[in-house]
Amino acid sequence: MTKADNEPFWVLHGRPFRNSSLVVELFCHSRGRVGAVARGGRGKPLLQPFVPLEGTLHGRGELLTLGAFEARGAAPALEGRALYCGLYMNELLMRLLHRHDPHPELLGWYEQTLRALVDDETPLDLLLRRFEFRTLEILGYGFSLTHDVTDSPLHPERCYRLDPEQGLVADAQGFSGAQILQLAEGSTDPGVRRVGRDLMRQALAPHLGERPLNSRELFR
Amino acid sequence: MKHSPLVQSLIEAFTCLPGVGQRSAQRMTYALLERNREGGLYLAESLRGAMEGVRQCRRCRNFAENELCPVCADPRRDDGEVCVVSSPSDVLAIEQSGEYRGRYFVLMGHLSPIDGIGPSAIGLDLLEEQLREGGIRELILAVGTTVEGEATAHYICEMAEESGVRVSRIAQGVPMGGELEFVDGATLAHALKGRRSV
Ligand SMILES: [Zn+2]
Repeated sequence: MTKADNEPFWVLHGRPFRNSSLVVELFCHSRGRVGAVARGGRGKPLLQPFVPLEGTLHGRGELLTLGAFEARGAAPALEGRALYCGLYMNELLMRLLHRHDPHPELLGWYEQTLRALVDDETPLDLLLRRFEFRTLEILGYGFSLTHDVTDSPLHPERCYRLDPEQGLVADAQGFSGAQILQLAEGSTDPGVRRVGRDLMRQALAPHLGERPLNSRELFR
Repeated sequence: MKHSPLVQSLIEAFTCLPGVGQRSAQRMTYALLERNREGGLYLAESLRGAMEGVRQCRRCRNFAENELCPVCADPRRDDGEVCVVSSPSDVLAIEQSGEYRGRYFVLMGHLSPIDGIGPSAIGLDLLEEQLREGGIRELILAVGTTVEGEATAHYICEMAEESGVRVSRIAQGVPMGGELEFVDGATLAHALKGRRSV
């Protein structure tokens, strides 16, 4: 296939290319993450992250060409901290997704999370944790928050550490079982949220490699 | 055809200029060698002079040839008003409007985590220091409305809030003498959001 008509997509990132063009990284419905040249893209304010778009992609190989495109609905109005969260999600996807590896379900989950950042009453960090957790699950790296690697239910009085390849393993030095169980239930307790953050950092680490996620710096 | 080493090296050097590819670089090289050796030498001298002599102002990060740039060194400028812009060309544009009597802070970019550009890469640690020192009454944000510009603006707002400094943002929307029908939807949406009573 060399051409896809009206492919739904989001811009994850854009950088200037030549005088007025952009090289954009897109998260597309049927093609996953792709890189594309958008001729004259710098003069098109719609071609930005967090605007739901659809359009035509031409060509084959590493770098495609973005043809005509338009908005396919209202953009979630990300502002302030919610905008940082969106940037964090984009950086995460840039690092986790290989090019040309389609994940339509993840695209839906991404859209849903972006909208939740604007509309939902849930604290932003909890929305990010859910995004991270579900993203790993969709990509095949999921693990259970209620059962350990031997498939026994977590014991609230025991501690567990995360083996990112397999799941939670009983370990006296690990996180408290009670707190992990509260995390699974979506608790908003500050201590539980810290456990969630640390646990997800450990879960993501093997997939991110050496470089840290730069967007974490934004959250002061 | 292969160029001799000195010619080849000059062609490659020209391609570091924005918008200059292999072909234009070759044209520039030939033009100087064929017809304008004097101009070429003048270019070389100016280039060396500027690259070695131009640094960043200690206070606002704009280009400067001394510790302070001319704006920061000018005692008639209002030190309490600081306009935050992304590039030296923005300073030039605002100076040409002739309306502004405060000083500047030049980011030389935007926050862009994916590109590895964090707060300190655009001098926000220095700005934070200046906010803490006191003496700044108002920050005027004149950064772009791209996603990166918005993130940068928010980050600066958070810093200013901690120091209790007032922040404003330049109005954006319909250009002077502009017709609504020629303004794109995104700009119009922004202009509507930033409307004020008359
Ligand atoms: Zn200065």
